[in-house]
Parts: sequence; structure tokens; C-alpha cells
Amino acid sequence: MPGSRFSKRWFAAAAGFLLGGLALVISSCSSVQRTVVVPPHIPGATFVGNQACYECHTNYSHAFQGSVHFRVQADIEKLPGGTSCESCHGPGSRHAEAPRERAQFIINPRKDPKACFDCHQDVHLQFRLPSHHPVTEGILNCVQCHDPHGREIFKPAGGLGMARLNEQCSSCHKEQARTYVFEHEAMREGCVSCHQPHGSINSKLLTERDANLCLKCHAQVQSGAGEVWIGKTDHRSLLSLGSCWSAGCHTAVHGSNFQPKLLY
Amino acid sequence: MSAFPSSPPKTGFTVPLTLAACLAACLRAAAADPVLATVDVSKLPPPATRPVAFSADIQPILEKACLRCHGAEKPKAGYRLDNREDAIRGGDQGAAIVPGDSAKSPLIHFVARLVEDMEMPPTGKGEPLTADEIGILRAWIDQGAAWSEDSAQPRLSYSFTPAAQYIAVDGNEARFREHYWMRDGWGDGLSEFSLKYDMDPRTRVEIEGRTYTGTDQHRFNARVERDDLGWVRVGYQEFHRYHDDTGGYYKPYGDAAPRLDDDLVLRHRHATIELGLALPDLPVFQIAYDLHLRDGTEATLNWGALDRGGVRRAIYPGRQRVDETTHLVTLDIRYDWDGLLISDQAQFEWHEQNNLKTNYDTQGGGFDFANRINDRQDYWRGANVLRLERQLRDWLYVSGGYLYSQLKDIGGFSVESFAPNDPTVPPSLDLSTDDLTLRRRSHTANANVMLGPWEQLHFYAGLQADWSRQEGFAGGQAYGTRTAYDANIDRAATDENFGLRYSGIPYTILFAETRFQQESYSHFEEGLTDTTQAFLRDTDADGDLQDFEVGFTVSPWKQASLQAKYRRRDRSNHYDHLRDVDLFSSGNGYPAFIRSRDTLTDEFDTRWVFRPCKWLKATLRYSLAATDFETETDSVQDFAQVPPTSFSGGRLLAGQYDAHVVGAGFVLTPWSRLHFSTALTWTTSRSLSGNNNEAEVAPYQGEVWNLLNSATFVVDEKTDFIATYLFSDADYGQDNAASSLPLGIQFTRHAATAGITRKMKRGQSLRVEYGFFTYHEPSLGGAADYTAHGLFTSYRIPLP
Repeated sequence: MPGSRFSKRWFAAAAGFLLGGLALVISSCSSVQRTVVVPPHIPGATFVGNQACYECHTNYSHAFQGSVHFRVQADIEKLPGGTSCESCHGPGSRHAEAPRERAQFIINPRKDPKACFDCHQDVHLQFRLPSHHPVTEGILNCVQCHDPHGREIFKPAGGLGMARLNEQCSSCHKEQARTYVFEHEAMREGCVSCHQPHGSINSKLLTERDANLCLKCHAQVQSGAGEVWIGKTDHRSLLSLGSCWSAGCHTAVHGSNFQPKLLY
Repeated sequence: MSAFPSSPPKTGFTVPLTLAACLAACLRAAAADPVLATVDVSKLPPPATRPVAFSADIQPILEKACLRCHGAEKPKAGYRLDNREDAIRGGDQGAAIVPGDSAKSPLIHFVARLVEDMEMPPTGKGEPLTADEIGILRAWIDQGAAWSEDSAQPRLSYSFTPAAQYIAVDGNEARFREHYWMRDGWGDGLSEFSLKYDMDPRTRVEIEGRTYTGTDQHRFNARVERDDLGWVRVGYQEFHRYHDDTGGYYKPYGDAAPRLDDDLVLRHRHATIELGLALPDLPVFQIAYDLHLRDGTEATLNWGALDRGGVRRAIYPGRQRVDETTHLVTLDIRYDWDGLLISDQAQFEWHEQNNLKTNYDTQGGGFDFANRINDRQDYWRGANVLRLERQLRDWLYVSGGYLYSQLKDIGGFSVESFAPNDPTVPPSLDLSTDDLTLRRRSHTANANVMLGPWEQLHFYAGLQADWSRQEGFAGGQAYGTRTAYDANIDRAATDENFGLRYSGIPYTILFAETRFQQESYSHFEEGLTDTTQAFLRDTDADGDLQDFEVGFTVSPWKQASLQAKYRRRDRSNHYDHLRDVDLFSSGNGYPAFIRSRDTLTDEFDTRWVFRPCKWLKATLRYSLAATDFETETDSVQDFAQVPPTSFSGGRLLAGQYDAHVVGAGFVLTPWSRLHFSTALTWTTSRSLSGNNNEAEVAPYQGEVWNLLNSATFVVDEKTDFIATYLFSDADYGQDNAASSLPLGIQFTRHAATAGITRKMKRGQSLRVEYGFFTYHEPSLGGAADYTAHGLFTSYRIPLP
């Protein structure tokens, strides 16, 4: 196997990035406490701070502090809680003060993923790859799979999603994530072992579309050159047909009920 | 305590309710009179002497000081100030306004801060009203507390957007549909419609949806909600998933990539009805029924082999007919019991599935046979999850939960081979079982605690324990031989999570998280069949996961911020094969000779954000991920091979994956009329395996460019010009056609749109847009290529 590209020059680039950041930290003591995560804009609205949000949305008031999003700072001068709900939902004054129909004055990422994409630009671009979940098409939304408020650290997070493996995927992909007599052990590692859930250049959201996908777990010490033994079978000629699953052999990649080698 | 005079008791038909109302009224009266008597109305600011208008004078005061807590949604103390009836009637404390007499109106006493513990707005939740504002409120009450007619009347508003599109595709139409989730040709309908109707101050109706044939998306949601009572919601959603029917490509054949000549569409439909009950001071109760349907035909990646001159490559596409129905009933209950939040959800699910997969194969020039794989499943699943959470102290928050789930699955399975080109050949039933049973039970419990903040430090920890047992049995025929399989899995696992967040360093947030998991499996598999295929395996396995993440976010200047984090994930699994009997060869066979597996992942991610001026925001990102996969196997001998084979086994680096992602994003508004944004990522990745020294297994490596631009130019007050451009390019080509089937993908994709939106009279708006789309995939010999032109238009009409 060739050497890893986890090489010195990449480490140097990473270190350079990091050192630049540390320089900022050192110089930070005389700076202004405002940042450049620009929150969404809502015409006519101003920021009210987390506490005002918690008055009604009590279910988020505690658990959110354990969320990864609690790390985010925003360009908001009024930061009573350090990190603001309004970083993602936009300024909340009109939402809070409206006598009715308050939803129209706040940004709800469940209806529009733009609030997520403003920071997660790389994910937005993954949704533009040829094989992708239909989020930009308005069929799915980020919140269906992710809990942005971090209640997952206080499992169970409502519903049956007790942070169990593959739970988010199985709610739609029942055929793949169901119980089998002979399960593919890779399912214990999670669907993301083989799939890129946001988007991929490969069909079926696969991370690779050739035998490398399987062999990185199933390769074994060979007895000699010119052989690709997997178990007690030399697969070399079989691999010339295609991948492990597309060549018509191990077609039941998620599991099988009547074939222990997952052929069907 | 209460300062409100009691409301007149309402008459009722039931004695208990009447008695309760009288008792409550008596209690309120007993408590209220002394308090009211203590209010020194001489301290009230005098009422304004001018005529007061609700919209101009009162509404702004209410919005500034009251409606945040006393609006229509979740009003504090049940008191609403969004309509006259509720404003006068008051909430939990009784009547609030006495029209014509502001001095006797508790609302005035509270805003004048004359009643202890009832000062409004409460301290810290708004500025106290000025004497002038109180005077205006008094004058309004003294003049009769008239309400705006606009606010008092039932309100109806709706909008709808007729839309149409035409798309012409030259090339592979199916691939275009798969990429863009919309079909070619003519499409029309309503891209959006909505209706909102306030039947009365307490009852609202909302309807929204779309029905549009261009994308075959149909959605309808209707919700009727009444305060202090509950809601009813009905919904329907339908969308189509299109699949390309093209298989693989082998250039030396000289043929185009084969296709099925079939429109592959999978239709998803979901209907729901939900009833909710939200009575004051009682638990919120909700019951819902969901029906999910999936039917149609989808492409599979199980390809059939073609044969050209003795060279066989699996490139002929496969398909699966899908027919799935799921019924789901969900019961929810939530209650806040004196600060203890209790929620419970029960689910009952029935799932029916009858899928038919067709895989083609060949032994010569044509299709000598193909497989029909029929998979039938009916399962029932019941589950219940209970969750408790409470803030015990300002610095201590705890939660916990318990999940129980049970599943029973019965079904059938068959594999039938047939000769597609010769109907005279009878099909052969290779595998068949109608005696398939699966059972699974699982328990999960967890407890969590969050501490702090202390000196800007938050800490949290969680512990979760899982236990599950799964039993599977399948009995039937395999190639004419009676066969039965039995497989059981017992799993026990514990997870521990710890995390902290520290923001004591100026302008900096530090965070660290760890997760540990210990798993143990007991896995039993048995195959009862003829003497050559029978096997028995009994394996005890354990797994260990260690996951660490540290990082920081720093924003020393208004113009810049930096985020960086590092994560290491180390998973190891060990297998102890207690029994391994395989009559096919000598035992000790696959997978039971795998002794251990280790996966080590390092990830580094950093992101710079610059905003040197208001018209420019720039984001730079770099991330690195590297994973090593190690496998250890036992030595093995196989006497079934001729000559007998022998492997020494041992540990090897089975695979490596590494990826670098460099990204940049810019948002520019160089002048007020132009908004421009761009996002670019370049990804290079490599996936290697321990067998890459053989030509049949080439490394999967290459790079992807992804660019998305959008621009908006404000032409004038009514007209915007909007344009987008998407570019993707992937180069994962493989050069191993001489010995194998190259599967690495190469493509270039462009999508550009340009159009205008124009505001018309009465809030209406017109959108006209042109789109150009092109796709080129050399790795498929051009079989997936297309060029498309589309015209999209819509006209939004809001009313009134």
C-alpha cells in the first residue's frame, strides 16, 4: 500500500492555519467582543437575547448549553447568554412582540435551510453533488436528521431517537436498516461507514464505488502475489467483473435472511 | 396573591364544575379585596386629557411592554392583550380592566407598580412605563377601552403562486431527472399556496402546500388550533425519486453503456392526521396516525455480466420493484409537574413490504438467465420512551430516560432464476422460505447531568446503557435441499459522554468532548442443511470506542474569527470464536477467522472568517481526515481447494482513507444594488486497500471541484435580476481496463440560471427564469450526458 498523504506539508499547512489563529488569541485582549458570524437579517427586528427566548421556549433553555452550537458567537452586541439563539434564528424582537402569527417574524431552518448553509457552506455544496438528499429541493430539511439544539446529549431527545445508531436513517430507509437473520456487521459501525449522507459524486451516496469500499475492512494477508483471497476464496477473477456488490455476487449488502454470505 | 376582583361565576350544568367555579371565585374574592383595598390610587399618574386612539397610542405601548409575554401564543398567567375581550376578562388572576374606570383596573395598578410582586413589566423584562404612558392607558380605559376594529375582526389572508415550466433535454433525460429531482417537458401547478384565517381571537386556521407537476411534488397541510383547547392537523406529502436506468461502461467492448429502456420512478407518499389536547394546567396530549407508502421501480447497483469474446464485465443495469406500506400510531404526553418535565411517547408501527429485485447475468453472448429476488416482510414494532428532566439548582440540571422497543417480523424470501431470452425454459426456484421469523427486544436507559456555569465554565456528562436481543430463523429450500438458518445476537453496551465549555478567556471559547463506549456481542449462527453446507458459529465479541475532540473559537477583532478543532476516534473490536464448524471445508472459515479489527481516525478542521468591511465577508476552511483500518485474521487451511490452500493469517493494514478539503466563500455587496456570493470547495481524497498491488483493485483516488455562485442585482425599485451558476467536476478515473472494470467516476457538470423578479401591484410579484444545464461523464462513455434548457415562471398573488 502506498504511504499515507497525511504528510508533513499538510501538517505544515494546518499548523500555519492554527498559528495564525493563536496570534489572534494573543492580540485579542485589546479587541472588541464582536465576531463575524453574521446572523440572519429580519427587517425591522432587533436582538433581544437568549433570556427572552427562554421565556417561552423553556425546553431549550438548559439543554442548549450542551450543544455544539453553543460554541458559536455571533455579531450581536446584546449577548446576555454569551451565545444567542438569534445567531441562527435572526433578531427576535418582532417575533416576541407580535400579538399573533409570530412565526412569520423568525427564521425557521425547518422550512428553509439557508440559516444552516450560511455557516455550513461545505455541506451546502455537498447537497449540490449529483447524488444527494433533496434538501435544496425543499423535500427534506436539516432538522429531520439533526438536532441543532443539542438535546441529544440529554438522551433520549424526544421521540424514539435515543441516539441509537442509524436511527435517523432507518425512519425512511426501512428496507436497508431493518433486522436481518444475517446482518452485515458494518451496520454496527453506522450507515456513514459506506455512505455520505449529504451528497456524493457516487450513486447511492456511496463513499467509493469500487471494491476498496469493502476491502478496507475485508482485506487479509495473502499467500502470494497475483491473488486476492477473501476468506477461502480467491476473488481476483471475480473482482475483474466489477465491485463486490455490483458484480452480482454480494448483492444483499445490508443483510440477508436466507444467505449467510449475503449473496441475495 | 391576587389584586383582581373575582369574575362572575359562570353557570354550568355539572355540579362539580359549578362548585369549583364558585369556590374559586370565593377564594379569589377573599384574597383580592384586601389587596385592592391597599392600592393607593392617589399615586396613579393622572389620565391624559386628550382623546386616545388605540392604533396610534395604545398598540405601540402594548407591543413594547406587554405582548412579549401576553400575546396570543403561550400567554403568561393566561392573560392576553391581543384582543379586547381577553384584555378585559384577564387571566388566571381575574379581570384586569374595568372599562370606564381606570382607577379600579388592576392592569393600571400593576403597570404603575403599586402592587408588590406584581409590577409590570417585571424587573429585568422591560422598562417600566412612564407616567405619560400610564396616563394614556388610563385615558384609553376611561374612554371605554375601545379596540381597533381591524384587530377585532376575524382576519383572512391567503396567497397562491401559479407556476409553469418547460424543460427540453437533449441526451439522457433520466439522468437529468435524477440529478435535479424534476422531470423534463411541461409542468405546471401551484408552487405555493397558503391561507390563514383567524376565526376568533382564540381560533386559527392555517393551510399551506403546493401542487406542482414540474417536480411531481404535492404537499398539503391544514391545522386548526384553539387556545387552551388543542389542535387538529392533517397533512399529505408526495414526491418522486427518479432513477437513471443506465448501467456500467466498459470501453474495450466498444458499445455504449447498456440501459433498461424503462422509466424508473419511486413514488413516496405520506399522509398524517394529528389530534392534540392542550388544556390549561393539564398534560399536553397528542395522538397521530401516519401512513407511509413507497411504490414504483428503482435502479439497483446489482449489475449483470456481459460477455464479449470471453471477457466478462458486470455492467448491465438492475432494478427493483418496490411496494412498501407503513402504518404508524404515535401517542405523546408532556407535562410540567412543578418544574419536573415529564414526556412519554409510545409508538406502534406496522410495516408491509413486498419487493422484487431483478438481477441479470449471462454465460455467453446473451442473457442465459436472470434472478428474480422476492423479499416479503411484515413486521410489527412497539416502543415506548419516557423522559424526565429538571433544573434542580441554578447550576445543576439533570435528565434521564428509558426506552423499550420490541419487534416481531414474519416474512418470506425467494430467489428464482429464469431465462429472459427463452420463455420455453421453466423458471427454477433456487432459494425459497416462507417460514421466516425475526424478533428483537431492546432496552436503553440513560442519565445526564449538566453543571455550571461557574466562572464561565460549563460541564456536562451522560451515561447510557443498551441491551438488546435479536433472534432470527428461516426455514425453506436451497437448491432442492431442505435448509434452516438460525441466528441470534445479544448486545450490551455502555456509553459515557463528557464535555466542557469554557469562555473565561476574552473573546474565546474553548471546548472539549469525549465519548467512550464498551460493547459486547454474543453472536450465534447455525446453518442446518446438507452435509456440505452446514455450519455452526458461536462468537463472543467486544468493542471499545474512544472519541476525543478539542477545539476553540476565537474572535479577537470585529473583523475576524477563527475556529479550529481536532478529533481522534479509535475503535477496536476483538472476536473470540468459541465454536466454528463449517462442513463445507475444514471449519475456521470466513468470517470466523477474523480476530480483531481496529479503526483509527484523525480529523482536523479549521475555519477563518474575515469581515473587513460591511460589504465583504470571506470564509476560508481547511479540513483533513485520515483513517487507518487494521485487520487481524487467524491462520487458515482449506482442504476443499485443490491443491489445499494455507494462509498464515496475521495483522495487516487493510485500508487507508485520507481526504483534504479546502474551501473558500465570499459574500460581497460592493454597492447597495449588488449582492454576490460564491462558495468553492476542492476535495482530494484517496481510498486504499491492502490489495491495491493487484490490478483488479486500483486505488480510488481523485479530486472534486465544487463551485456555487449567486448574484442579485437590484435594477430598480420593482425589479431584481438574479443569476446562479453551479460547477462540479470530479476526476476519480481508473486505468485498469486491461484486467478489470474501471469504476472510478469522472464528470463535469454546469448549471446556470438567470432571471428577473418584478413586483407588481397589490403585493403581487412575477418571476421569469431561464436555466441551462449540462452534464458530461466520460467514465460512462457519454451515456449519461445531457444538455438541457428550461424556462421557469411563476406569479405570486397575495390577498387581501
